[in-house]
Amino acid sequence: MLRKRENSLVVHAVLILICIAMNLPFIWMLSTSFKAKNETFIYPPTFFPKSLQWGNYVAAWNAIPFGRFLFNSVFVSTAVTVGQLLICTLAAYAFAWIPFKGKSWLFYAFLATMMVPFEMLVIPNYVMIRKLGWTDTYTALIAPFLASAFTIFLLRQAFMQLPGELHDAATIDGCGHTRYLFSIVAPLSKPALLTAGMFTFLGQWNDYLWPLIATNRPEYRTVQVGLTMFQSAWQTEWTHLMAASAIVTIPIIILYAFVQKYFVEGIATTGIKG
Amino acid sequence: MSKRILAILACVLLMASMGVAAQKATEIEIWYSLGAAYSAPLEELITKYNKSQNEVFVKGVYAGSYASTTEKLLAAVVAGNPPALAQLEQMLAGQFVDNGSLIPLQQFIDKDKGFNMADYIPEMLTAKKNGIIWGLPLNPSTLVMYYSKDLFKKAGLDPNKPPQTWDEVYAASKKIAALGKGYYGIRLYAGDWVVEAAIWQWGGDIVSADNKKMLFNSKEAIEAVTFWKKMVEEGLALYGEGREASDQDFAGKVGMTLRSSGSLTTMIDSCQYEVGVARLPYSKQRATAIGGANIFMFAGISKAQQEAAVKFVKFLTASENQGLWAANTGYMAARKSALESPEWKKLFAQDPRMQVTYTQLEYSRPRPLFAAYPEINTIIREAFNQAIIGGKTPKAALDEGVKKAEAVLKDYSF
Repeated sequence: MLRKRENSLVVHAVLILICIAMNLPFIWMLSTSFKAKNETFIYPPTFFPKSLQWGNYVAAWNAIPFGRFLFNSVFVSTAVTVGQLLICTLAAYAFAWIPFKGKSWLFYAFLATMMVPFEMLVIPNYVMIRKLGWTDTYTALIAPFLASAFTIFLLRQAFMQLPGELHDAATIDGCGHTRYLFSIVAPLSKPALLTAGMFTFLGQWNDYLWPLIATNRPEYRTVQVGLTMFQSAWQTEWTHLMAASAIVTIPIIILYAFVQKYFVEGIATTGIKG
Repeated sequence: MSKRILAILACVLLMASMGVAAQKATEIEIWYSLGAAYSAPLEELITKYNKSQNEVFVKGVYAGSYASTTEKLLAAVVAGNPPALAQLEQMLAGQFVDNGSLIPLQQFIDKDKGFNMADYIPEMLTAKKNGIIWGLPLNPSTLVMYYSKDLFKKAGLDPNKPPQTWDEVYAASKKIAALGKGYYGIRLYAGDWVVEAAIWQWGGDIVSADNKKMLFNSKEAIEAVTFWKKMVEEGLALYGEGREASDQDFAGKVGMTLRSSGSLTTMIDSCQYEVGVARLPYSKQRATAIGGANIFMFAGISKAQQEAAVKFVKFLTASENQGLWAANTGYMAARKSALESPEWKKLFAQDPRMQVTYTQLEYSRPRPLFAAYPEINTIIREAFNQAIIGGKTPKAALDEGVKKAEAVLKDYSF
């Protein structure tokens, strides 16, 4: 008993150390965001600012149209996540459970698109949205990301984990594909859906290049574009940039707090063997 | 019935076209790469211009860093909707000059006395190729040497007599490094224009005048790299770039550093020590590169937009405006009359450090301007790194670099 406790003490000590190491950049960001400009680079570095400069947050908020950028980021990321989950769920279900001719080839073709880096698609995508007259619209920021080979792949693998008997039973009871997908497959694959959703949301939230290229008007720009405004070729407003970064991180932390338990659930269920 | 519809339609069209002719100002965009702190004075100028007349309406668009601006512009050029004007960094402008996506401003300068070209400091006109001016200076700067007066004092050096030659830098570095562990005389790094300046200072060159032959493995270039390597190996110089290394400039344990003259305010704000500014050290000859960016006009815009853009460029580069913008940002004024204005005289009197960059102009050089150069520049920097911290001899590293650069050049010429 005692040994067990000692063991867990050691384990926890190690975990706490790792936890601190992992969070160090985050803590550093917060610390810098409260520092005075000339305290940023003193050596040895200070962890606790000599005085809390709340003004950095005010300055960061006022330097760029922050509220609008935040709204755009939340709106675009949410729209892409919802849309992508819906479309990719349908595709993944077809790939997992509906037999049709040329299915595996089509699936490989989808997978192959994952090999093309986004940077290569920037110009063709831009030419397309320009031809469609979508520059400076939310559509330009959302539409190109509504389907994703990665999400389809992730969901297909999750759907295929479900036992075939479940499908057979449902079919015998007269349940069609649509109902089976939405009443049985989707609820049972919640962890996978949430993982995919979290990935998508984060990916959109952090995307910089596309919003920068596809939009010119500040009304349609996102926070990531905003963050780069604190940097110039020869100068970075570190304290303001860190304050802005802290603000930008908040929605992600809130989101994570909501979906965290499902992640854990997902890991827990993968451990159960029948 | 259909006749009536046609008539109504014709009326509507007529009214619409008349309406357009009567009030519409020509709208143009200028894409810039300036963060919020720098873009504010530019946006102020744009607003001032828009208010001053009603024929042209200018919209400023933030396009990210210099590099992202290039990407955004490439996409826009391919898609056929470039902005009328854009700010392009010295080196990155080459590809647009070479691929025909720009209209050389020379075309308009020849026809229009309003540009007042005689007033430009000639060295500032860097966006020039084969005698043709492609763009006009917006935010030029030169590379200068910053040094810590505190460390100089501590090491027994005269804080008001910064080293002039690389040999003097070496001697001073020895004294500073002797202060203890973690102290360095200077930070060296293979920055894009720093390597150019170094090769020039030892009497070498980067590329032949026709941009066809690579010259950066000459005896002189090898000497430059060898000297740097010696300083690094003897522990006199800290070697490295990127944010982490460059932040060391502020920390107070590095005696000297080579940075843009535009960094003066940042240096003063961020450093814990008294900042001195000096001309770049030299070996065989004095040399520095002109950095910053120029303003360019893009092809594929309408005639009306071209005319509008010319008007705005003239406004933006007019002595008082370009000078005001430079004074607000720490970049350099490109016009002689701006420097002679009372405002600038006052600025110089307030802080003589601001003047150092102008004393370098007589030997400053434009950076190579051709499409393949950004890639070749990366190869040169890589060669410096390979020689100085990668274990290769300077000659081997530079020779290898030239070979790679020649292959790149071949890719671009078809």
